[in-house]
Amino acid sequence: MSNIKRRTVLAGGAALGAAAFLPSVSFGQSNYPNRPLTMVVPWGAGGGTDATARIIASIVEQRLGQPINVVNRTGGAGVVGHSAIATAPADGYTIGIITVEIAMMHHQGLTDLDPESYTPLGLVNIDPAGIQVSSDSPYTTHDELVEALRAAPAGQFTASGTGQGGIWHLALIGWLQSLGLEANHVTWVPSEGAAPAMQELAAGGVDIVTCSVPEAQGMIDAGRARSLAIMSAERSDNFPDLPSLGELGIEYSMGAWRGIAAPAGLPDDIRQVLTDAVAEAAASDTYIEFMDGRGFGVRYLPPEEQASFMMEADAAMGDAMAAAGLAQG
Amino acid sequence: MRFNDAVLGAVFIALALYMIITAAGFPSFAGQPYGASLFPTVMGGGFLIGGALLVIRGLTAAGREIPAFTADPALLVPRNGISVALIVGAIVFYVVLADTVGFIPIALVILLGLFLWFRVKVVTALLLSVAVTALSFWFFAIMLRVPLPRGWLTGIV
Amino acid sequence: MDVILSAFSLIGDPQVLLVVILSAAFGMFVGAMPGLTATMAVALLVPITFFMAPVPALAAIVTASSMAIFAGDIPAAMLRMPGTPASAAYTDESYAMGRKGLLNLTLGTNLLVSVIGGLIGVAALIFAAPALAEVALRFTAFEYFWLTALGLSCAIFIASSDPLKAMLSLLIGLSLATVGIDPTAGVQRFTFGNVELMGGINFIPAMIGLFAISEIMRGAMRMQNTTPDMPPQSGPVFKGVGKVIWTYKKNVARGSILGTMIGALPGAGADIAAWISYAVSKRFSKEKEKYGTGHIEGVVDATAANNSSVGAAWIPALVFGIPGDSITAIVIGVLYMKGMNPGPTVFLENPQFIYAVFMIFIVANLVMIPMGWAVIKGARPILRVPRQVLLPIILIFCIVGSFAMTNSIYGVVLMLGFGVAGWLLEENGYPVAPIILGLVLGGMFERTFMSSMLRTGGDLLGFFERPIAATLGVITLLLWAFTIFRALQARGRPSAPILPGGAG
Repeated sequence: MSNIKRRTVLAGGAALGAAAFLPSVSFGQSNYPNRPLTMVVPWGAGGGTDATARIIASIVEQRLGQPINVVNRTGGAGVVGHSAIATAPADGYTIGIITVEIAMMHHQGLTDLDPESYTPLGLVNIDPAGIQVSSDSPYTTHDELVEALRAAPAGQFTASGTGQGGIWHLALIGWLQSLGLEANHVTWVPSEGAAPAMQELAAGGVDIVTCSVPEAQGMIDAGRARSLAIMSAERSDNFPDLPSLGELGIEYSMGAWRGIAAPAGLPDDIRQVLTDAVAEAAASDTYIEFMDGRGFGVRYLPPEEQASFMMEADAAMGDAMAAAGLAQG
Repeated sequence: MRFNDAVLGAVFIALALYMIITAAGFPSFAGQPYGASLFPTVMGGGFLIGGALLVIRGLTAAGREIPAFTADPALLVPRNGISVALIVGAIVFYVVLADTVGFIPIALVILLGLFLWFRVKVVTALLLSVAVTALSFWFFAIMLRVPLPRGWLTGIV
Repeated sequence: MDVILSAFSLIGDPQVLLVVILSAAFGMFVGAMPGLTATMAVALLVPITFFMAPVPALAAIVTASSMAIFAGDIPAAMLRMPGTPASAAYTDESYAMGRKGLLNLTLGTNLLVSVIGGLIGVAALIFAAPALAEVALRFTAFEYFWLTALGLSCAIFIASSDPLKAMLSLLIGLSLATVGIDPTAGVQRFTFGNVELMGGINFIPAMIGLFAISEIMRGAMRMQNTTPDMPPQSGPVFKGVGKVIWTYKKNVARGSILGTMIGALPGAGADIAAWISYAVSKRFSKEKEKYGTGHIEGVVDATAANNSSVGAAWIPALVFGIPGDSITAIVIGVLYMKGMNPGPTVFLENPQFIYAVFMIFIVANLVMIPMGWAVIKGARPILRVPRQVLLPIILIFCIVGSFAMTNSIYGVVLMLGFGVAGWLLEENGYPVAPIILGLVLGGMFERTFMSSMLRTGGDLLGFFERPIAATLGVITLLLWAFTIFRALQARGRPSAPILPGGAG
């Protein structure tokens, strides 16, 4: 932009002195960034969040003309990395990818950080929770499963997908509540993540896994598990055969999401540069092809909508956690 | 630095008590008699028994002959004691200053300082410090993108 | 046949061959450098492989991980600084061999047996992947609980001198594994409100501290003592190795098979495989008393096991998309990246890629022989480098290696803490390797125990209801009974209380 502007000004025959003055007029835009950026990922190398961050970074860095180093700061169920992003200097040289956990951790008393601790730069992905059962299970539709759940005494069914109070645990609780059942009607068996939970499902260790469908895809393809529904209002383009809860007459949606963010208090001119770059990346073919390939849901929300979306999610998570007795203080 | 078994046994018992008491404050699962405290409590129990066995061993039979504390004779030579302290000091130095000053100056100082203290020839020490610092920074920070702190050199390297 | 031919053309590409050579050199270098580790080698490859074509990307990871697991044996034997937790099981043994002047024999054996083990793991991957994956799918929390219990018990069982101190070391590791956010309840434990501690204690900086830093401190203390710790060695690397392998051919086979089976279980990788194999080797050896004094037999089992599990860990990853260890977790990410979504369909849709992976595994294991030979040759002169030059350089590598695991100064702080602690413990006769095992397996041990308890509603008998779980459980309990019986017999003090089990 500024280059073109400058050339137009020069072509217009403006005085040389004025031209020399120009760079300082648009200081923020033309000088930022003048050194490499760091993008912090709160989850491990090779995972879905890491891959999303790296693909976004690779597109953003082309636009900014400076390399972006992707740095994994893992551990503490995401607390470590989310803190690293929030506490970095708000100079535009440290950005990060924040995930749904930021709307959950502070309810559990793990951190003081919440969505307002960041300058949002654009939401890039939402994956609805799915409801998976083993292929040996007698239930082939969502309604059959619900019927069996209602008929069974509390605690007979077990479910898994994440640790206690993790995103997929909350998905289960919210779903049960929307069916009019108690939060502990199904016993939650904590696992280290979706993949071990799917293995437990196939091994007969648990009855239901409420992780996202792409996380379950390997087992589903192997014929060991099937998905009965996704927890969203509408059917997803990625899984055209799966009914959504909305279609089944249940008003409940829950999913994991990922967004790009910088520390709170980022100067407006830098924020604009980054927002534009992220928007462009999220709309690029490279990004969309990559996300489709993994079955991840592409969904872009500009920063303002991202902020309100995160606050709504935050409130919803707070309610679900309070209902399950997981919230602290 | 060797301790009598009874001394370390007492340390383990103290650690066990700390763990068990702290763990008692951890919340348990809703409606279950156990939870986050179970595992640390079991570990604490293990330390308690192990510590007690050590105390018994330290106070009976051959254990009684061993003094509460003996320093390794090599460590009592002042120069050796300082060498060990310098190794620990070098790491502390890095931990405290690396984020502000940066990897390159700190690594140079650590290498040069240790080489000279260990009486490596001055020229060799200088050359080696520069070479090792430069090579490790190039390999890790540049080639492999490890975010080693740049510190004073931010924007330059 | 067409598939195999097109697979051949995929890996025959000069670019792929170049990647294999470069990543082999990289894996060897990082694995062999004290303070740097195999885990680090693979983690650092991710950003580089991220934008490569599928075959070179997979080739880089396969080759570097195979090399690094072997190369971790080199600093273990020469400097008593293992390059991976998988080498920690037999570090003392191979270092003791080096001090006896048998460095060539131990490293030569490590190399060739690693290659044999690696090839057996690959053979299992090629011919038995679906069947083994089937078995792995039968493992629920109960089976994993007993498997980790067994792995942990091995640390005490193989302790030669003082089982009590080994048990305390193991307890230290297990206790430190509870620092951070509790895996099942999601509450903080022993974090003192510190954000970094919430992330838990990373075992790589811990291992660098316990082994390398404490060794550097000991080295600094003996600086004026001019006799070298280990006699410098020359001569052919493979002399006598053939005889060792022939004598212990059963150990090679047993280690490889155990490693393959354990490696194929998701979540249990080369680390458990090496410990269990070493313990099995000792249990069934005719010369138990030689273990720990520089005896090659246990090393043969364990070094075969940890390399065979590298290939086997790909079985659940390819068949079900479930990571077998931290390395294949990364591999699955790369497969998705390249549009080769793991699962049985990958065998149907992209068979040429899968065959290419198999071939790369074979090539990587064969390349390991000349590469490993060169690295051993190249590393031996390090023994002649004066301590005053070597120690500060290793210290810098340790700092970088620890930093790279957490990408923050916290890793270096951990390394320092464990370094000082390791030095003190070692002086007092506490083995440090069990601390690492406890740290590595602690999380899984607790998680599987708690989820089993949740499932049975607190009924311990439920731990024995499934056949595989019951078998593993009985083996673990027998091992404990045997160890306690032996300890009592040796002490001749029948009134000693029963040792507490992590076991139940």
